[in-house]
Amino acid sequence: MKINALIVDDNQIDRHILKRWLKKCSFETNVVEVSDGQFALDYFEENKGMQADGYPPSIIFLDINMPRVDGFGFLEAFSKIRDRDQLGSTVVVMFTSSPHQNDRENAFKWDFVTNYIVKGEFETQQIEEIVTGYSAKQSA
Amino acid sequence: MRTTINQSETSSLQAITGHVHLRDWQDDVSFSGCQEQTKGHKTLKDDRSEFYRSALNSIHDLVLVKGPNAELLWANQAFLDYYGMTQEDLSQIIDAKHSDPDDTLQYVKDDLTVFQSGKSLNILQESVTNAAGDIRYFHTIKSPVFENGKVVRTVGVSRLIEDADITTRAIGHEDAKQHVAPIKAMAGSFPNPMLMVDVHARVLNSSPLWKSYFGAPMGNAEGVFCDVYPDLPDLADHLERCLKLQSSVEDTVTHVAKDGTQQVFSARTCPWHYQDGSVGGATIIATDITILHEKSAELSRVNEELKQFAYRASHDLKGPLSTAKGLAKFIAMDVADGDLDGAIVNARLIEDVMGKLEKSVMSFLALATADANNTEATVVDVQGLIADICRGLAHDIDAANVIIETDLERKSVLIQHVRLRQILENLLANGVKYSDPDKERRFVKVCCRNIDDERFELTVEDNGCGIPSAVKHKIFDLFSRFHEKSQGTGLGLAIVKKHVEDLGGEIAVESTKTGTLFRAILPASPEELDS
Repeated sequence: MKINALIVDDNQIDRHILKRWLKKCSFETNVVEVSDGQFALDYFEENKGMQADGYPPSIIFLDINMPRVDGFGFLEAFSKIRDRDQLGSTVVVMFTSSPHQNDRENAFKWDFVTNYIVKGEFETQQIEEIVTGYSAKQSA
Repeated sequence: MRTTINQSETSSLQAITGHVHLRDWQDDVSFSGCQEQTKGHKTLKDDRSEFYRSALNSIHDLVLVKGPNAELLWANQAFLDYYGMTQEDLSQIIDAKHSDPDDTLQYVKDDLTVFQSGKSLNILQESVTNAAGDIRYFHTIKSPVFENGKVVRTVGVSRLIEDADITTRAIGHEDAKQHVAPIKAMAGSFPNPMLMVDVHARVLNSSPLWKSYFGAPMGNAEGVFCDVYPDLPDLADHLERCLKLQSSVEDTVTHVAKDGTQQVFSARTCPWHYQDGSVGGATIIATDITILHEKSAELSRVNEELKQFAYRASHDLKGPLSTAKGLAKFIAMDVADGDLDGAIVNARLIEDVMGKLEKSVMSFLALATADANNTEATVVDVQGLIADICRGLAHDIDAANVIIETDLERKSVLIQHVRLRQILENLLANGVKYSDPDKERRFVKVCCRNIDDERFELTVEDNGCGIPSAVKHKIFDLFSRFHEKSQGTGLGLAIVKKHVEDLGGEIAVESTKTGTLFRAILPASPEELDS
C-alpha cells in the first residue's frame, strides 16, 4: 500500500527533514510538497476530481506560520474543499515549530486534524506511528 | 442681664403662625399684601388674616417663616424693619444680600436641623446684620411647622440681646464662622479644581481651576450644585451620597469640555465638619487624569503588541533551532551509515539555517534598539548613503539584475543617520527581493524632494511583483509576510514604520501601474536646506 502525503511548509529544509523521515517509514510514501497555504489550495483546485498517482493526498503535513495563506487559513478553506471534493479520508497533521497551547487548540477545532507535531520535539517513530495508524484505519 | 424668650411665649407664637398657616397660607395675597383689605372687600377670611397679621406685626421680636430649602416665605414687621426690606423683597430668597454669607450658611444649617429633627432649636446667640451693616446678636428659637405629621416649614423668633456672654451652644456662631473661613478660603484658591458646598449642596466657593474646567456659577451664588452644573450629574450624585451618608465618595468622572474633547477626572467628594463634628457641607477635589487615562490605554495597547511580539519572536527564533536539531540527527545517522557526503550536505544546511537565525536576531535587535537610536541628527548625503547600502546588497542586486535609480532634488538631509539608513536599507532590499523576473527591465527608484520648509518626501518605487490589495493595510504589521517568495522575518517594514514615526513622519504604501511605491513624509529642518 502506498500512502500519498502533501507537505505544506515554506521552509525548504523542514520539508527535506520530513521527507527523509517519511522515506524511512515501513510504508512506501508518495510525497508532494508546496511552499505555502495558497499553493496548497491551488494544488487541490488544479487536481480537482482526479484519481491519479499521488492524488488525492491521504495525509497533509501542515505548517502554521507561512506567507500568504497560513496554516489556519488553509484549514478553513480546506474544510470546504474536503466536503466538496469528497476527500473525507484525507487527514491533516500539523507540523509546526509553535508549541503554543492556543495554536494547538485552534488546530484541533477541525475534526480532520489528527496530530500536532512540534518541529524538533518529536520522536522519529512518531511519524511512523502516524502513517501506520492512518493505513490501519483505512484498511479496517 | 440675660434676656430670653420664655417657653410659653414661643409656643404661642408657634401656635399662631402654625394656625395661620394651616388655614390661610395658600391665600398669600391676603396675608402678605394688603390690597384686598384696603379696597374694603373684606371677607371673613380677610378678617382672620388681618387679625393674625396685625398680631404678629405687633411683636417686637423678629418672626420669620421659612420653607424646606431655607427660603424666606414671610416675616413680620419687626424683621422687615431690621432688614430694611419689604415683604416682596424677601420673597423666596435665602437671606438678604447685606448678610454675612457665613451667617447665612449657619442659618441654613440650623433650618435643616429643625427640619430633620422635627424639634425646636434654641440658639442662644447668633449674629444678624441689619440693613445698615451693623451686627447685633439675637436669641433665636427655630421651630418646625407640621402638616399631616410632616415638617413643611420653620418659624423662627429672634429677640435682640445685649449681653454677649451667652455661649451655651456647642459652637459659638463666631467660632463656626472662624472655623469655616479657612475651608472657604482654601476652596477659593486651591491649586486643583475644587468646589465647596453647604449641607444643601449649594455652591459656596470654587477654585480658579474649577471655574476654568467647569465654568463659574452664574449669578446667584446660592445656586444648588445640580442647577449650577447640570452637565455634571455624576458629581451631583456624589454630593448627594456624600451628604446623606456623611462619608467620602471617590470615582472617575468624564466631562466634555467646551472644545468637545473628553476629559477624565478623578473626583473625591468629602464632607466638611464644624468643630462639634456636625457636617457643614462637602468639598469636591477633581484631578485631571485625562493624560494618565490616555497613557494607560496606550500602555495596554503596547503591552498587547509586546505580547504578540514575544509570541512571534519566540516562534521565529525557535523555528531554525528545531530545524537544526533535525539536521543534526541526520548527520549522526549519516555518519553511522558511513554516508559522509550526506553528512556534509546536512552540515551545510545547518550553516544556512544558522545564517537565517542570525538575520532574525539582528532584525529583532534593530527593532528593539530603534528607540535607543536617538542620536544627534547629522547632515546625511543621501546619494552616498544609497551607494553604500547598494554595496551591501550588491549580491542580491546582481542576482536579480535590478537597476537602482535615484532622483534627488534634495541631496542632503539633517536626520538621525542610523534611522534613515535602516529605512532605506529595508525598502531597497524589499524592492530587489520582490523584483518581477517576468519584466524585461527591473528597477528600484529612490526619490527625495522638498515638500515645503517643514517637510520632505522620500519615495522608493519599484516595478516588482506588487502587494495584494487585500493585505495592504497589514503590510507594516510585525511579522507580516505576504509573498510566496518571502523568506524574511516579516519585520523589515515594521522597523521602517517605527523609524519613520520616531522621526515624527508618516509612511504609506501605494500600488502603481507597474509595481509598488513607499512614500515617507519626514520633517525637515529649514536651516539645512540644500547645500
